[in-house]
Amino acid sequence: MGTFSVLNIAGSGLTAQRLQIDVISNNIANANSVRTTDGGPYQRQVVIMSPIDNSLTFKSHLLPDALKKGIGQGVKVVEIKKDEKPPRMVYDPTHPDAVQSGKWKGYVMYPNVNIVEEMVNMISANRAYEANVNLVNSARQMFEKALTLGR
Amino acid sequence: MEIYSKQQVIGDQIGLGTSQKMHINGKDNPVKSDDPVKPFAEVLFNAVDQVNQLQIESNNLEEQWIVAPDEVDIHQVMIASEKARLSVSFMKTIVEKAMKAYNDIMMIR
Repeated sequence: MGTFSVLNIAGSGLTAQRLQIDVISNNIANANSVRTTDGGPYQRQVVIMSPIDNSLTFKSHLLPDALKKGIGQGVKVVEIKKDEKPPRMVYDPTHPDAVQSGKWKGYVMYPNVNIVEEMVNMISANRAYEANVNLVNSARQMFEKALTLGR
Repeated sequence: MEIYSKQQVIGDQIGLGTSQKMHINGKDNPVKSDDPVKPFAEVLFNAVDQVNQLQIESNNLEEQWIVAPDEVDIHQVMIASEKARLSVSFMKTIVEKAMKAYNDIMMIR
């Protein structure tokens, strides 16, 4: 942990939230994509985040307290998963991608993207980004205050 | 009790935990620096070198931001330049303090 650890940690948060916003915008942009190369409608994507942890992995209760892991080193995105929720069914028999037979005859499978939900996630990611920016600024203010010590 | 090197420990907890009496139940367990007699000039040169390294990093990121904006996030550029700026002002403060100490000694008559 160095002098600039705050900046590194907040930077990882900023990067993660940027990616979150990217994924959300992709979800919203594809809210009506009924056709994909994998077949079926577009599936909503979810970002999975996890703390960065590249410290000692050897664990023993014989280790002295002082060697316990310190604070972490920020956040990383481990995976972008597909949401497996069922697609939204809309009745539109004239649509070229409408289901041809069975129980859902005449229905079109639309992506399982809920725009309202995405907007709420977007606001939340936006605020998280802002919080990390504030963290950087307050760390900077602390450094600058420290420099005025003894003046 | 020096089984593990300090490099293995993440977080500044070990530094606090072993150097300050109040953090180790009042036991006396001072931490000795690896080499307490490093000349000041060497320390200063190292510091200047690291500060310069941060400047170079910031420069590279800015350049990349202009040449290939998709490969770098703007906040990375800002954070790098902030690091560079802060490290310069750290260094400046230290050098000013050293010069003041030197001048104070020279003023002894």
